Amino acid sequence: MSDEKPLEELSYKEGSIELERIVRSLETGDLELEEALERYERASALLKMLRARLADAEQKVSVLMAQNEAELEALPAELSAPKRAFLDEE
Amino acid sequence: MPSSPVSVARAVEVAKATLNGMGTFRVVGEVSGFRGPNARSGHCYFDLKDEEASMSVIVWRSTFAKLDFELKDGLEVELSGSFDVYVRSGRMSFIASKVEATGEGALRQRVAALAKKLAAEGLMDEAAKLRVPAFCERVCVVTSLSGSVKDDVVRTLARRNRLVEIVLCSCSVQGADAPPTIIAALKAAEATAPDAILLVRGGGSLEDLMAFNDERLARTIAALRVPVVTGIGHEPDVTIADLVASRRQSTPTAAAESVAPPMSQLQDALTERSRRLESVLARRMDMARESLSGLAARLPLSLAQGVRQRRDLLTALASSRAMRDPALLIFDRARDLDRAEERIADALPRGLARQAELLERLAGRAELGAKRVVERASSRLSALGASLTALSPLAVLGRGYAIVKDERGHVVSRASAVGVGARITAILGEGSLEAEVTRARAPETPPFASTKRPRSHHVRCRKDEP
Repeated sequence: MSDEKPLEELSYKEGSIELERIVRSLETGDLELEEALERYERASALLKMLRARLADAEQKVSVLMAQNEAELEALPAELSAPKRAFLDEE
Repeated sequence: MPSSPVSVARAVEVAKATLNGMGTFRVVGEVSGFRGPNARSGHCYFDLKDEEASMSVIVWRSTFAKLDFELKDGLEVELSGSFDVYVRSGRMSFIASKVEATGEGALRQRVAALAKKLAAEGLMDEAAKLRVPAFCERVCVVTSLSGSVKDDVVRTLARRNRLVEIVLCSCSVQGADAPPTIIAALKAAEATAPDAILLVRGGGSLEDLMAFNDERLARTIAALRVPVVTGIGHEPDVTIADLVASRRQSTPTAAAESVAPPMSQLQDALTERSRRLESVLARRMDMARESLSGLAARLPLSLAQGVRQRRDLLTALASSRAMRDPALLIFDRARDLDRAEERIADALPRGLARQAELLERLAGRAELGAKRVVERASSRLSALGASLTALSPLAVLGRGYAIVKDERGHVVSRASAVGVGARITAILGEGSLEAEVTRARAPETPPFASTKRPRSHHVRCRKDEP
């Protein structure tokens, strides 16, 4: 497929859905051998990427808006770490 | 007041007048000893009490019917009404003309009314609600950042699915000022287009949770383009926000768990797909190999077979009649011509015979037809003959009449038509007479007119055989 996204731009879910699609298209078995091999290669790459993501998954937590400074202070260090630029203090 | 004693009736009357004079006022207390409306009258009797005192209360049927909440023991109510005395027993009762729930009762009453209104508008229709994806990769958590709830959510997702990105949006979750901050946080969350919004709060009293029973908040949730999952309070607490949300979970933790599958499930899915992928590829390769080896095996065979096929064809051609004996072809044509000639020769007499047979059949039918015509005519003729005989004047002659004809053969009907000496013929029933007129007589007068002898011709006859 020409509209394939680079692996790093895929979310886990997108990758997972694409993988399932490829497996299904291979299972229906009407692909040319070259195409089947191409699909398999992409599926392998997806599988590897998804496995790595699962293994290395780290929760991303960010704060979009806080009521006040005190709340931010109250955040545990590992949560408040990725304070974002759009942090909105009211 | 007179110092002399009065009757009971008078005493009660005085008390009643005094109580009635007190007018209307409002009393707050707790319902006790409520027995439901009287089966016969429909009125309600109960006691209203606080820690120090108690009084008996009557709610007339008409007032009771207007209540939109359930009166029961322990409920805090505010009554409007006045005291009265039942003369027969001298008992004092408070006649409540208005009953309102206060405290929790009042809150529940308000919440129930709002829920009813919003439900009627369709805000709680399951079919109209947004679907929450099975795996939300990014969720906005709308809650208070100062409470432990956000930690519960983060911890729950860290345990269950670390792939879920969490964005925290802070708001107040308690008090009259809370709803606008919740609404603002929801809208900010919606703007980042997450897969779902978690609206969560820890447990609390009904009063604590009232912020989630706000009408504007409910309308905001229903109008969001992102599905909202609620986890407000504990298991039995249900708020309006819960009712209009896409999904209601009983606690913040349950809400967090519901937005993504556990890591183990993702792991299993990957393993399963990997297995399918390997097996399908192995199968595909086997297929390709098999088809290739099949082709490879058929290649030399197919070459030999091609040669054999062509040789067989040539052999067949060489052994055909035309190649063996070309003269046979001419012989065949000649034989065909002979056959055609024979058929033409046969065809003519056969046609003639058919025509002759046809003519014969027609002739037979013509003869038969003609015979029938003659028969019909002759029978008609004899019928006509019979009628003719019946009508013939000759038949009249048989009865003695005669026809007289002159010499020219004209019938003589008047005596004056012939002169004396003329020869006449009288035709009789059988035969005729030749005669000579000897005298002619004038016509006779009718017998009734005259008695004179009639005049007549004198005729001399000669017998004349017919």
